[in-house]
Amino acid sequence: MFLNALEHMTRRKLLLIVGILSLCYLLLFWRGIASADPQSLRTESGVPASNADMAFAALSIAGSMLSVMVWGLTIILGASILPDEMDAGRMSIWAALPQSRFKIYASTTLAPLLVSVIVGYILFGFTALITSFYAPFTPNSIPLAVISMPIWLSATWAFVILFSMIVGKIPAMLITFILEGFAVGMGNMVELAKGVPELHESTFYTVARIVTFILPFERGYRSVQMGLLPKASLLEEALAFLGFGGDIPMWEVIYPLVWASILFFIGYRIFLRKDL
Amino acid sequence: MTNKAISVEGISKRFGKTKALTENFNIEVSRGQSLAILGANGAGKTTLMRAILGLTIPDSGTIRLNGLSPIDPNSRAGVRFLPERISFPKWATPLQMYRQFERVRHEGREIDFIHTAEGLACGDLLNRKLGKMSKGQRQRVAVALMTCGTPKTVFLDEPSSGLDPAGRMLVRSTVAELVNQGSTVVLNSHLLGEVEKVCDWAAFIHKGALVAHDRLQDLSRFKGSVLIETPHPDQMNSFLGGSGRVKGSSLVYPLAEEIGFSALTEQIAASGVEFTGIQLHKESLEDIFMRIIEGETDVS
Repeated sequence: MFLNALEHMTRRKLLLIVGILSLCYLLLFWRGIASADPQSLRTESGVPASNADMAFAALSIAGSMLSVMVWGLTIILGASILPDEMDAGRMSIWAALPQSRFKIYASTTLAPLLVSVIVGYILFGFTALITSFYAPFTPNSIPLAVISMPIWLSATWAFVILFSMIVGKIPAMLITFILEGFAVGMGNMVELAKGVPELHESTFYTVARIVTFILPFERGYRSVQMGLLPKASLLEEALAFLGFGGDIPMWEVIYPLVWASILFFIGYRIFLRKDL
Repeated sequence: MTNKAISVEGISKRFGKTKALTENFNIEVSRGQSLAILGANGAGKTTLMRAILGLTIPDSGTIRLNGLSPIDPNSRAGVRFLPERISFPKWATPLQMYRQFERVRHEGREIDFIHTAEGLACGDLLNRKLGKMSKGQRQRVAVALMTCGTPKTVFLDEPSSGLDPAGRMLVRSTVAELVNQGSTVVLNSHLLGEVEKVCDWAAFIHKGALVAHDRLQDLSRFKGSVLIETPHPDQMNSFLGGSGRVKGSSLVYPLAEEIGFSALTEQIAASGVEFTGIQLHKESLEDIFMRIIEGETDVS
């Protein structure tokens, strides 16, 4: 069943579009970083930027674009997998075969997550690889980036799968996009507060923390970035304003996975009672 | 193993304020039986079929499919279901779809599917993308996918939907073959002629309630007349007393009771008027349907 869902996923035109766009992006990124002049880059104190600084700048800026692409793919694939199968009448055929509803639910919904994670690995992995070719650097922690990728995307995936069963495909996509944008904004605020201690006292910071706790869509993304970014860079402080400052405690890395698991099982309970 | 393929006891189902199946809905289907579920649009036929398969969760009552609750995946071993409305992925070919199903059901051979497809006149379409087929071609493929091999129980919801007369005939013979090989067949169709030729049992559903469930032959009532096929209907009518009604090259002659049939046949044989056939005028399935569902009593 998982193979069937995966086959169905990979045959979608959307994936071809994403593939072409990814290739275009990687070629443009390659051209861009190849023509960049590290000497023209200066830190706030006027010191010329190192390779690590250049890699930091390149990865953090590229990461924002990539995250939108991978997020978008996860939302579109996740929101459509169950409603499409049900609307087409195929779900009733699958459910009339000798397999449990859990197997159908898990196999069908895990396929878009796997596709999104693979696309994420390809995009972030090649971006880091191309960067390291022109600006050699040592990443903070590759294992952290690798582990965080599925954790990051699982939060979005579980949320959109659950909502696609409650409100339907298109409303689920819109709700997820809007809430994610909100959660990312609040997440940036939390990161910013790490560099600006006065912010810790404000109510706005408290609200931002609560939002990122209730909707931990972007926590995993920051872990991916933290893992990929160079170990030492003078630009680190300045780039805190872009939302990559400070460390991420382990519980924050794991938390989105726990959150996604809870939503996944709520989704299963709904699927279990659903008329197919 | 129980002899009952399907057992439904006291189920009810509501969709919001609409009652799809009323309470105390009971029905049993033995192995190898071919049952037609009949009723007007919205009567609850599809809901019943889906409830038996575990696709719709009833509000109350008990269902057993192959002796097990439909929640148990083992209850659906050897079971096939063709829904009324199905849309296959456009990129897939019939063979790819067959392989997808076999990944889950593990019960057939590809050669059986090819043979069934050939029997349904779609053997040449097996490597063509489903998105490039007509509605009728896709329906034939769908029927082949769900009837190939030797399934234990087959649920078909309007299998002839969108088919031309030739296609309908092929589907009918495919279903008849399933019945002959001992599969239990549950058929939901509005084409009563098709049902009459394939099924030996019928269940009539009206507004969510089971109003009749019996063998087709037992449901069919004597219509109070005899049909005499003769090239000289007027002459035959005069001989029998003139109370008959000429209808083309046949004579519909009233008969008070079914038991008077043998005496009448002797009388006809003694008339000396040429005739080619005599039969009791019994209700067709359409007549039964109209009587039970529409409440009509005199349908000719």
